Amino acid sequence: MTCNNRTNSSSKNSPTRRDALRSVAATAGTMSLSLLPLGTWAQGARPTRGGELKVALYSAPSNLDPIAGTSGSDSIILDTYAETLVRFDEETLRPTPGLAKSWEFTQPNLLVLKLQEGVKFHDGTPFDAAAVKFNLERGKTDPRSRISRDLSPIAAVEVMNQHTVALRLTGPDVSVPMILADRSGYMNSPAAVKQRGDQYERNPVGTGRWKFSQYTPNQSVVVERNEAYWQPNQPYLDRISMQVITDANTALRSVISGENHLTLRVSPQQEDLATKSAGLVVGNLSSGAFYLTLFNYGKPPLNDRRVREALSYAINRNAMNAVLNRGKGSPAWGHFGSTHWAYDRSLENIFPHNIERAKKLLAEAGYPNGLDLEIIGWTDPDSQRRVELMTEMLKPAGVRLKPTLRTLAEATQMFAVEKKGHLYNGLWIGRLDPSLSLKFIFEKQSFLNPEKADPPPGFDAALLASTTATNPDARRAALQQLQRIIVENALCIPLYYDRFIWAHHSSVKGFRMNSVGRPRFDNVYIEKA
Amino acid sequence: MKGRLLQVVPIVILSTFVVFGLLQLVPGDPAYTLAGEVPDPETVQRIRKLYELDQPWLLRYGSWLWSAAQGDLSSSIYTREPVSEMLWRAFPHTLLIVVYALLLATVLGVVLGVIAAANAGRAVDTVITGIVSIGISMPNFWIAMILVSTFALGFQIFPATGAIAFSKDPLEAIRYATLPALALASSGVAEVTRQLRSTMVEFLGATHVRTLYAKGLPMSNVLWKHGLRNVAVNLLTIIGLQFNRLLAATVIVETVFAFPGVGGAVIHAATNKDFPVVQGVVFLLVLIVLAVNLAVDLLCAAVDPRIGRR
Repeated sequence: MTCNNRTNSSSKNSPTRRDALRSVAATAGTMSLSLLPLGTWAQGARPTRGGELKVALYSAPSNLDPIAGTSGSDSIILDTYAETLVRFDEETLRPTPGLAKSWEFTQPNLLVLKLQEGVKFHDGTPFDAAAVKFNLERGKTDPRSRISRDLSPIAAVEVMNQHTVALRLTGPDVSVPMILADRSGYMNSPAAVKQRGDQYERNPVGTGRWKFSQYTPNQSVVVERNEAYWQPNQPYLDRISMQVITDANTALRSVISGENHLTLRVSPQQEDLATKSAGLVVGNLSSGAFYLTLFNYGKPPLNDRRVREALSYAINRNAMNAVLNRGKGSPAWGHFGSTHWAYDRSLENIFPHNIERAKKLLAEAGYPNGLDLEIIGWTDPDSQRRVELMTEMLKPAGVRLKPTLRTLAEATQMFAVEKKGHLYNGLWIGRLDPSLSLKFIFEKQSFLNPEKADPPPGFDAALLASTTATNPDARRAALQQLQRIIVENALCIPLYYDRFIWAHHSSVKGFRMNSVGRPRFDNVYIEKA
Repeated sequence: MKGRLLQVVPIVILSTFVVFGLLQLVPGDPAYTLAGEVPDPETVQRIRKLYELDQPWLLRYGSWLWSAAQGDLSSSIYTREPVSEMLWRAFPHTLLIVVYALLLATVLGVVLGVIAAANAGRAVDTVITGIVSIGISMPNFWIAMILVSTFALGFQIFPATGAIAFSKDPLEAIRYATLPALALASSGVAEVTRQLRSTMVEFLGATHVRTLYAKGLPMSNVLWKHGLRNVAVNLLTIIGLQFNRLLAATVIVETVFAFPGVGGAVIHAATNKDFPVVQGVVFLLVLIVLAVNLAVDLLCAAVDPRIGRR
């Protein structure tokens, strides 16, 4: 598979009118109160350079060193000052050129990357093949690395010349380019890493449009324009100040009162208030993240497929979406949203809400009088509501749920390590590469497979096929097959897709959310009054 | 005095030990949080060793205490920020809103308490005690939201979120701290008013007050000069207790205003079992509470020398 040096919209000097219109078409269906700003842009307004964008972040960065972070939302910050070898297209979620301008599998297990030339880290040192080798090896071996598992398909990194690097893989694996578009692909300055040691995570150096400037733990991150950025006429903003406000309502108030320009999370309950606030643009987008209930399917009675199926039939996903997401999300049947390239329409409604069927299956499994199960969930109000709703939905089928609510870390530990409970209610964000996402949940050695139960027949072969298929159609087919095995064996209950809701001042232009919740500020500018 | 100062050492050791012990009882292992969303056992083991989470908890407490005794409060296991640096950055913000709230509570509480006492049993008294009761009945965070809606989002006089360092711009810092301080002060005003009213009513009923009136002293003089001096010991005790309560109340109010004080920091640290941060905050708060109590005792002795002689 070869990827040519296609220039994506973000790498152009400035958005053209066509880009603007395309953006309008992509977002018009989901935006409210947005006619004025989008209309203005569509009329050909040129982006203005300068200004400071103030953003309310819903989560503090877990770490500013890309290899040491643990939170998916870190990427919003990391993408400002660091860049990945491969980027992802925000609409299709396919790999596009980043710091690697092209890549090619010259052999099934040899991936050759050609790097952009003339790129420098913010400390003035060159970005080259040696820097790529340093970063990937550091990600695999540094004791602080949280990405060593993600990088496990890479056996060795070889420098071919200053701007070409070869990745020798442990086996054929087409998921590697997308792995390099995720946390594992961020490039740090080797000189800065060596010089700053443990303190690097508080003072990172990348190649991004903005330079890291200031970090106040759990409070704020500030980045400043990189005047020597390698792509011409980028970026538009002089400065981005990101303030951590974990409470979504407080964050919205900070935007309404004008202290911030943008909040990346508005609660569904506050969406109407935001929409009615003068001068605000409110948008929403179906998220690739979905709520699900995992099963400990190695443990009785959930090791019986009929019991798992019964639970799947007893859940009314549409009602859940209506109650918890105001009917604006969508029920989840598989593991990819309807806009994802690996979405499988044939799985829709595979377990329709059917209490009689659920009771029959339970009786066949030896539970004619129902059964008692323990479910572990999180303590936040939304999660509590979700568990309560599930408890009520399962009652008519004779399933009596006993809930235990804990913080995320405690709940995960209880379910995955201490092997407590039968069900685990959570949110799955996953990885950019779909094979990696499914592997991390369902493979035999998965952390989320507490009993290390064998996956269903065909799973391993389908997973392998999904990482070795060399053309997009074959890969889609392999992923759909893998997903079908997971869904038909009822290894979990996908519930419904989350929605991203955000709000910003009408002076903020060019902002765009994507389904993985990693908005970039590359084309954002502030329109001067 | 020397004895009071010596008490500080065992109290600090005991309180930090109890908090450390309680943190061990909270379910959850920070190594799993640090290892990411789908950690493999090898990563967890590596993280546990790297952050010394594999050591017995008594050993970790001892190590922390030994470092603290030498002035090193250790670093956050999540952000690697030295705890002393975090306290130096965040505590001035918390201190500003607490002192500001205490001033508001004291000034308003004294004025309202004296007026209510002077008009005991009349309509003014009923209105004042009724209004201040609302301050006790309503939760701080709810008052905070009403204040934000009215003065930040409505009239746009004060900011809805954030803070400015007092050392950087004192006036702006006060402007940013006004709404959080008002929200904090609401229950304090009620407490000071009600306590002062009751002690002042008792004072006004005393026989020597009748003598003061008989000598022809105006009521204002009796209330503000003689009255306040008589109830000063009570008032100082209430203020000391209020200070300690306000410190605790900042935890919620800081969240509503996204105020960058120690309250928000300690919530984050406690839920993630970031024990160096929790220990550092507890250490500081214990010292402050002890210092405030000592200051109150000294002030009481200065106001009423009989206390010092006991």
